[in-house]
Amino acid sequence: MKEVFSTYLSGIRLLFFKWKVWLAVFGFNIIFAFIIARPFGALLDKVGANNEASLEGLKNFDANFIVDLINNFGTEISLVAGQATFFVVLYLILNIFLSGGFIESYVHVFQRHTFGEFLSNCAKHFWRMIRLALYFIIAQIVVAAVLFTIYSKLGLSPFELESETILVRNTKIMLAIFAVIMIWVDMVNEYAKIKVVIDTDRKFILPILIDVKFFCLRHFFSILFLFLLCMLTFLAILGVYAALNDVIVMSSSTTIIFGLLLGQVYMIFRVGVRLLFTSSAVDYLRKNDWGAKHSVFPKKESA
Amino acid sequence: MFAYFTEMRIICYLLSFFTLSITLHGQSPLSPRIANYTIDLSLDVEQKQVNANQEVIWKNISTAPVSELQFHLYYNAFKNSESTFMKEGSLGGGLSKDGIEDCNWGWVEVLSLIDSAGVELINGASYIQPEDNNDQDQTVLRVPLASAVQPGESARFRMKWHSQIPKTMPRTGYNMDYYFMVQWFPKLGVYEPAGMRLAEEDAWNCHQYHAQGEYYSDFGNYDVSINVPSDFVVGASGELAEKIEAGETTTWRYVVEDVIDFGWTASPKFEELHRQWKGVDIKLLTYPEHVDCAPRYFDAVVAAFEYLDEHIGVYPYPTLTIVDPPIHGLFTGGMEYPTFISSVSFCFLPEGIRTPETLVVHEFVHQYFMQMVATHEVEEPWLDEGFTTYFEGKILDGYLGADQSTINWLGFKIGNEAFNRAEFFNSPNPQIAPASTKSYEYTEGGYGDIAYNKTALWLNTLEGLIGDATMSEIMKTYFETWKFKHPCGQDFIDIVNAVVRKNHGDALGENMDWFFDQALYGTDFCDYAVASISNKAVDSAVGYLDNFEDCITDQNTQEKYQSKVIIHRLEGMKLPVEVEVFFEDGISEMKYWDGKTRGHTFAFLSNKKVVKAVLDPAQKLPIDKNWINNSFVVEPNKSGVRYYFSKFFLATQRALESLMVFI
Repeated sequence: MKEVFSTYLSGIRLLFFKWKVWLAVFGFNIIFAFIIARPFGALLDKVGANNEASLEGLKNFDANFIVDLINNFGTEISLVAGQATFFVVLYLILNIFLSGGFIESYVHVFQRHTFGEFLSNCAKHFWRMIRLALYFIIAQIVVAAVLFTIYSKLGLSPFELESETILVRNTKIMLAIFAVIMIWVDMVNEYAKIKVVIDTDRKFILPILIDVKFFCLRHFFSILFLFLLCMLTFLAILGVYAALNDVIVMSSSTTIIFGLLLGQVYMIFRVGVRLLFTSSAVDYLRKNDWGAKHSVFPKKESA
Repeated sequence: MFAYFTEMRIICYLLSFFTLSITLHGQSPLSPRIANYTIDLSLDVEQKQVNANQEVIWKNISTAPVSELQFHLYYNAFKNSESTFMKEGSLGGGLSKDGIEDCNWGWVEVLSLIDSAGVELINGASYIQPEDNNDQDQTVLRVPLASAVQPGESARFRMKWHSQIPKTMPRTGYNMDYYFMVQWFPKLGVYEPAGMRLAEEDAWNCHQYHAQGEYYSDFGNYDVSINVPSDFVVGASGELAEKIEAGETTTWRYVVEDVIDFGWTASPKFEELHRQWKGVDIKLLTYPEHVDCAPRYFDAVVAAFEYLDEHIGVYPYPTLTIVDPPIHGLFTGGMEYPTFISSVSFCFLPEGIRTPETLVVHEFVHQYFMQMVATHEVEEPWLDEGFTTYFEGKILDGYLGADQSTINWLGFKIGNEAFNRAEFFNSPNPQIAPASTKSYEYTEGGYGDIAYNKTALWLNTLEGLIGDATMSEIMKTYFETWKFKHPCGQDFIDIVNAVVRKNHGDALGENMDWFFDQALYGTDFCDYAVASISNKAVDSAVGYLDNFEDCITDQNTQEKYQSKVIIHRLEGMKLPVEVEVFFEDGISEMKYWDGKTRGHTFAFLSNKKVVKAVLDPAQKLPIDKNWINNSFVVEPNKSGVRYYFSKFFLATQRALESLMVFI
């Protein structure tokens, strides 16, 4: 447990040490969110150009405004949604592209990378990373499909159920099983991404996946504990954000800006937690798998 | 011997029933009591069958002899795949593959029908199909009489019938050990003399059973004895008069007066809960997993009792039974029968999702509109479903809050009237048919959106035009005039015209037909918009003004403005509208426009500029399809737009980050 804690702390240190990675990931998020949201903003500008219809929303949740917006500007909203889909896919692909470079910088922590080298690293790992992502997407779909099939076989038709409590119980069981499997899939995915970057010579993903699977099985409880620590960090940040967000009522330009800023602070930390999963995993792998057998920050630890 | 005892029992019941009626009221009956039923039935839970003896006393209120009877045999809608109900099938009627293999059909067969002279009439009976000539449809039975029933005379008929209860059919049937028995017995149609409602000549009004639309029946008294296994709990229309246990079976006898129908339910798993309201026993029959929902039902229905008692009239019955079906009985949820209604709840339903409240209030309002004011649910569904939806909004928005009475969950809030408006305008084709359409003629869809939601919308709009007080007076007058009778749409319109004229004179026109022509009989949308505001400085006059000698050449700008507010009518519906015009000093002025032309300009010459105009500021016209364009501001406050953009932007950021979990 002590080792896991120190790994978790090293992961945090690595996260801050490589703050540019953190900033870049957050930057990508904000840029793409803006690209996606801007057409909607333009539509809102058009809709609210010379009226006060949107002002009621500042006081209360205004269902009438949203309903009338959807009803009278449905075509424009569909167009915005279509554009958004394209940019979401592009965002995912770009993130896969960049993940190789980011992990490389975590792995070679004290090595300075120029922007060109960073891009070169991204390109070097891209095809293997995208294959890995596809495998995991397929794995998740298969897990979800299998569980849903079992779930539906247990009975979904209301007319065949004695009581909906059966449905509730089945749902809880299935969601628990799904969560456990997804945690396992995510853990393997996290370590596999790092292994793909480390094992540059191995062109095929499957042997890496098998290695990682065995590694994760050997270190199951430590890795799970590390995963849960990161998850707890996320929940803590979410809790703080939810509490603060409740305090800020976005009812004027000032409070809207305040709310937006708070949202950005939350997003920075949320992106940070995602990177923390990776950085702590890098540290764990460094200690337990590849040659180094010590943390990312050995001097500090020995001191 | 059995038949003799049964007959004696029926006579005893009838005597005690009528004695009870007189004792309870000591005054003239509430309704004309045209069709009265005494039914003695036993439920065969093994075969899923009902075996019954039924006595009908029917009164001829016309001025001519009646030589035939027409009965609804609703259960024959479930007899095969060829019935009109099954062919229409829009309610999800029809059997699953397993249902077909297991032969889960339902039917009702009249074995005997004997008049008071002892003549067996069933041999001359035949099935008729008044609407579609579908000879496979056996939902209406025509019975020629041996001797005609004379005007003003009552005739007694004894019937013997049995039925196969269908499994999980819309509205009725059984599933597992739950039974919901409605539209279940051979029930007379309504004999309409010429001039009554829409009738042009004396005739039976007895429609086939359609997938959409429910029923229309005459008032009468019911005395129903239900024999079921002793572990079953039975709920029904009316009061429990008697409960006789006899070994493995128990007979539950329910009586009810001055109603148009009778429904009952049975299950061994029912839990029975009660609440009293002004002497009315409100009974909830629910399943153990739904017991937590009981306070929601009771509170909502009491709110409805209080509202309707104050705004419409007295609920005259001593009981109301609410059935909350189990999940396998979902097909029976949300139905209305006299003093007997059903709703829907789930043990996992959050408090902020107000489905139980909405349904129970909606179905309870039906006790007034279609039960007491007994309109025709098939020919004029707007008169009951539309009215009910309108009052559902009034009651729920008042009781739970106009911004959250339908949903208040996870930050999403919407009130009932707003929800119904949203449902209508976002339906696939809100203009597919006028609200006056018969239920089974919505062949291309739109029944729920138009008969329910559009009617509620235009009733609210009517209220906006004529005012709350006048609307309230109309509804009270309509109820008082037509309770325990059969009005048609024109009867309601006549009352609207009379009350509006009394209260407003000619202010809204000679009558309100112009409104009904558009809202009820038309399909046009309504959309008014403030198109623009302009303020032009007025220059001082130049030239020879006072004489022919002094030419004034200095054109000074005066502190006066010629301001114009331009209003557009974007759709076909024409309604009078109010426009509130705001000046820069904060003062506002209310203007009126009849809304008939495609556009209108309000002009002002003043020393202050117009800064804002709001059309229909009190949102009296919810039938206006777009409220966004109802205001125009010269210098708009962009906070609202920024708010929505910020929310969307943050949500997009979170969504993008969440997606990273998958790669």
